[in-house]
Amino acid sequence: MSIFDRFLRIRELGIFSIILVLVITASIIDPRFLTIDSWRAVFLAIPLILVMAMGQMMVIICRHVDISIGSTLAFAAIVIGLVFIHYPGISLWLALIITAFVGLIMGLINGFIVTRFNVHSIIVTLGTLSLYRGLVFIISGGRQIDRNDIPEHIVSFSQTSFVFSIPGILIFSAIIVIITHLLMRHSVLGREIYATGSNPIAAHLKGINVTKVTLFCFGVCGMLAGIAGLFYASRFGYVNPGVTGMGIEFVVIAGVIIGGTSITGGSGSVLGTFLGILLLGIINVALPVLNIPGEFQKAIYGLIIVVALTLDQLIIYRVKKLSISANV
Amino acid sequence: MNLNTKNIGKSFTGVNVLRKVDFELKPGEVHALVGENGAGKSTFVKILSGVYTPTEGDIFLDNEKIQISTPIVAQKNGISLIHQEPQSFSHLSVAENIFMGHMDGNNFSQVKWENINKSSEKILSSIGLEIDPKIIMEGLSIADQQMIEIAGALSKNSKILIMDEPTSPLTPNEVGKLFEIVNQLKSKGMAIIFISHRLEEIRAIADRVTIFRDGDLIITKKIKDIANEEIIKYMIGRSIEKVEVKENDYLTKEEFVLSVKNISYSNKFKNISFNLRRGEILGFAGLVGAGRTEVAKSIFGAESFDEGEIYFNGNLIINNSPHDAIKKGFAYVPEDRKQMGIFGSVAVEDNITSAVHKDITNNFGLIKKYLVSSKTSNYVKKFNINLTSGRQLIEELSGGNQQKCIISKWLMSNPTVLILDEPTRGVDVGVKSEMYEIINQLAQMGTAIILISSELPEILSLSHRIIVMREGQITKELNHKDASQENIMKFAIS
Amino acid sequence: MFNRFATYLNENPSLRYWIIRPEWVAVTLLIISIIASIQLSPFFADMAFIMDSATPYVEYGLIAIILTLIIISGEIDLSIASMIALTAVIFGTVYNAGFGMTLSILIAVIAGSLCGFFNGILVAKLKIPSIILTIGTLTLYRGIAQSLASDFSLGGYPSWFVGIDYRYVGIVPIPVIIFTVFALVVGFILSSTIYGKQLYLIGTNPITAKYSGIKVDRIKLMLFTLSGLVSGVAGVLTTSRLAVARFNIATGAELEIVLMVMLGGTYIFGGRGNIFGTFVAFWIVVILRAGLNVARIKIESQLTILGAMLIIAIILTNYIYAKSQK
Repeated sequence: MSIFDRFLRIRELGIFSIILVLVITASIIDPRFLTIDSWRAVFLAIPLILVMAMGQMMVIICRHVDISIGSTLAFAAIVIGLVFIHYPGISLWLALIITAFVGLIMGLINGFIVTRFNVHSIIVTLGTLSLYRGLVFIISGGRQIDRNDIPEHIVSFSQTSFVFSIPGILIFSAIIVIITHLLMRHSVLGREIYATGSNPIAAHLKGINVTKVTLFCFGVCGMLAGIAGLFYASRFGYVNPGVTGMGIEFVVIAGVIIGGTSITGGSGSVLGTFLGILLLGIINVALPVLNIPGEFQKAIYGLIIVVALTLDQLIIYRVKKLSISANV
Repeated sequence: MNLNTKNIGKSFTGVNVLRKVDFELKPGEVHALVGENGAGKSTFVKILSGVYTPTEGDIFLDNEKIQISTPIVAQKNGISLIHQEPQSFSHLSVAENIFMGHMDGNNFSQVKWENINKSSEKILSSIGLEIDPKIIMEGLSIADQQMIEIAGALSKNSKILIMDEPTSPLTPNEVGKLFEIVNQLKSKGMAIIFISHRLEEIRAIADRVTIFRDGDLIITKKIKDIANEEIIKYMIGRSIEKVEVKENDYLTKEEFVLSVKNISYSNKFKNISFNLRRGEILGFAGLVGAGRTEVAKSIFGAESFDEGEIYFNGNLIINNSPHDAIKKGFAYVPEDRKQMGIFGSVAVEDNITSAVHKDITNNFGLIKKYLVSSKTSNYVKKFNINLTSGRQLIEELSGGNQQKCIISKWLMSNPTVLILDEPTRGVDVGVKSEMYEIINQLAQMGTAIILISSELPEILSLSHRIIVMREGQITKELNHKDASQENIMKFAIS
Repeated sequence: MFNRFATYLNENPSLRYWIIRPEWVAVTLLIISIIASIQLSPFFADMAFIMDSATPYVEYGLIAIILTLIIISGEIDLSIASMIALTAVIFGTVYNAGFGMTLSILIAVIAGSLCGFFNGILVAKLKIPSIILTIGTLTLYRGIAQSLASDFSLGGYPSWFVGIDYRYVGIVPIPVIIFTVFALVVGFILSSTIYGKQLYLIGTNPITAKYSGIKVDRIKLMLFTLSGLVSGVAGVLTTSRLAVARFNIATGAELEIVLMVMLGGTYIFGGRGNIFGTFVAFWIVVILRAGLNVARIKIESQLTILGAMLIIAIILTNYIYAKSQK
């Protein structure tokens, strides 16, 4: 097993152990933590973020970043909200297709600007973050989409079930996670995405269409953010232009980075990302149990990112030193 | 598969870099291409491998005209290019590296892991490489990476392999292995184009040699029908005089300006000890990977070391960074010019004044522009640097001129100890002899010089003393009177 | 004819260097925005009005100047807005704890410097890519601000402190003077001293810079600390302007500050850019914002325009730098 593999496994194990520690501590302090209800809360909070994280992971693997996903989410949510107002009978599937499509376009715009003009994605998506957010206000007229605007069958998507008593939103997210895993690990395109992130020059020389790969990643990232917009409307029952999706991009990126995806590209796993998001979700739910005020959440998230990044560098440094000696 | 070119020419915005190349490659032959930098051989192989398209002329494969518009088209036609520095996907497995870009199926097809793993194993063992195709590329040696790139070419059923200076990063063992593989491929009918600056290697492996000069194909001959001096003559259009080692008065003195005692650095080098006088040129011979650059970096403070001591003018010193070293009077001209030697998109005059600034600034750090220009033009004149203006970007200059700029930069610091690491790599033969003169002059004036070079003739013609390294250790120290190519080589290879 | 001009420029590297520059785009844009805004409303022909409009942006302008240096050296700092908020909150907390104005300001600025120093250590010594590190610290610092101040507005400052921006020298508000002087000083250091030259070299090739004896790590550490320091100053200024400190002030400031730097022609990949461009871009943003306000375009819709401008700015800058390297 190469050093790299070992490193990733350590990472995933590490997150898992922290999750374990947290859960155990929290349940000792308050046994209610282990009830179905609390877990329900966790598992209802994460599909939104998890789904977006899949897309973000792909973008980061190919050496870019997309901080406009919160605005994309809001825009898709507003669009579908307006659709709900005028066509309340619309089916869930059609709503999914619409939000996915809206998100896809917005993601492709990001990807197009990055690839066509060869500019850095952090600045591009900083621009589209604002541009799209402004559009959210413009088309919503500043108005919120309220609970009664959203049809019942949409809301129930995240409450009751398609299957057993698992809410539809969870099943759908699980499917997206599985598809992402299959795509990244076992499809030709998925391996090309890793290759592009690992060495873009070599990828080009080997005949990989780097533009196509990049556009694909941004497109999927946007599309999943769009779908997350529908999830938002369903789960929270409202869409507010000034609140919906604000700052969510950093939670998503936090989860992806904590999960072991490197900002330098070429590595990252679905399992790791899932664990990273799960960790953040559990922290969210565990805070009140551990008597930590809610205002501390952001600081804790920030601290975890910084600690994860620091540990990464320290471990990489150690590993590199070891591997140099190992190669004598 | 027969490859022919007729009348191939290439121009870049009005500048003609290649003219009327009629070239022939026979199946089962190893055909070497030689020429100075800028002679056109790299341009030519880039055309063959689809990186460039020719401005005129045609390429024929088995007598059929083909257009090689992109690298993919070249690969589809069975032509593969093995780069000097292997480009690998370090996060992916060996098998993926071999098959990336031409896996079966379309985008969303499932990767057939068993197939590519088995095929990789087969191809790798056919070239004598026992590597598990499932392991990740990260950490594999450059030699292995190169073999894997060759395996990649084989996996695409390439019939023509172009190797661009493949032996530069290899140890002699690895070169031997590479040549074995080349011979194997030859016997299977593959044709190989082999670019190299090392005439001994070409003689060992090639059947025919083609010489380029200034964009023209000068001549093609069977290797056994042409001698090295002739090759050089065709390469540079004139013969070069042999350079003799020049002694000076400093060499009789007893004091050492630099004394290195038993330094070691993890697995990079062990027990390195040597002394250096002012005015002395100490050559470090050995093959790539012997550890000479690592020693230089540790002396210069760019890397550290675990054990041992360094004495400078009799005092124990520690260089914690290049900044420390420069302040004391060390200078280092690195072997990788592009990565560590120049600021590419920066003006020549800013490059030259980048190491020391007390000569161009006042006490508050204000830069005196006229000093910058005047110092630059001094060096331009002194070293005959070919440029249009000091404000030109250094990356627009040829390799030899860039190297002259780098030397100027370090001379500005008035170094006591000047470390030159492969100073004539990628430098034309004409500029090379200019550099030898500069080096000798510096020694005459008292600069202590450490000369690291993989070119034996170079070491022999300049060094007063020679230290040979092999796999991280010093194997021999020789006086120039006792040194010859044979006995240096003896101590450089295992 | 264009080709002949292009060839002429190719042969005169100095001329090429001075003519093909993104800063001229910025200057042109400034002229266009001045003309357009005067069409919009006669207020814009009044210098005093423009100066007044500039005051709230000085806080961002000061940071934009340091951010320009950081980006030239090949890094980026996205935690700037969070540092403004955190230092403001610390200032408010400390003042309300009875520490007196001078001490509170000092502590706030030191706190900012420490935040910047923390960024710097992780980037320069641990080699964590600044883009992701400052995404992490932007969350962390904002989070600490929120932990400290919760949802409260920290006020209670003496009346002389509130509204520093309303002091003038002639028609020029004091903050604008501070900003201009700062821009001149930093601009001078960047363009004419060896310290500035070294930043360009580091941004062009940090390895060669190290091998040339430039103290890359130390310089980067200093730049990030400076970024924190100036953010601390901005935090105090913002509190003075708003009369309160809250954890969520300067939300979205990243966009405007980065816009000032990018609009000024700084190259995101490092090695190119200057303070003059940032200074001009500052005024563009001021006039743009003021114009949009006068035209009664909602704040949120202004976001769209600013976002679009950022994207256009980087596309143009990239294009110009690519062209100028023919």
